[in-house]
Amino acid sequence: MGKKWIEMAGAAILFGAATATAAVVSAQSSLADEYRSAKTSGLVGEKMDGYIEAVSAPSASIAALVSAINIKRKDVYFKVAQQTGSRPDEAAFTGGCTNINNTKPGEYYQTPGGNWTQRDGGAPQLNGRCPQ
Amino acid sequence: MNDIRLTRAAKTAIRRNMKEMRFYTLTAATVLALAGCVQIAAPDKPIVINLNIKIEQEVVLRIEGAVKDAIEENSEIF
Repeated sequence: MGKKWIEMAGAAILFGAATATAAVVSAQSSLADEYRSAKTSGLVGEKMDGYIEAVSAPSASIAALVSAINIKRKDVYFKVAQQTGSRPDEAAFTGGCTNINNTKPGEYYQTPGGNWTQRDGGAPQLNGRCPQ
Repeated sequence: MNDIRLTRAAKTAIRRNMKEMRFYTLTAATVLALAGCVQIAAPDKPIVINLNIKIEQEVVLRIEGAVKDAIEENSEIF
């Protein structure tokens, strides 16, 4: 009886852990999905400093999405800065060059002048300090 | 006669020395003038800015690969 109880408790813990993991994964994927759709519909754009921003006055949910993505990005940039012995803002700026390069036609990015521009078929306008 | 020759030689020597002195004085004056010009004309601000850009560009080029890798690994937020 004692052994069975332990088995059942173990199974319950395993099940709980699996459910929790599934919940985390689905939360992550829903954030990623929200981000993808906001990006492709032109609600958010890539800035030169490596972070995203709402292109026009954002709804509450878009504002929350922007800060959620930027917090995660900050973490990534800080780690790279630590690995490479550079400053987080330098890592973020370098990321900005890559992110703007990676935008697809129709998506928004910030030009060196600081204005939002829709990416066209050609090369994006990059800051002079970006690798050319 | 000998004395006169000596005097003449001394005169020439003095003249030569004076010429040299004039040359050195002129050179010194030119150098001073140039040094003054450089000090007055050198605006230090643009030079500092250019230096900063160069350093940042070097950093950007150095860390570009690591940043690209990190972005690819975290593609769900980039």
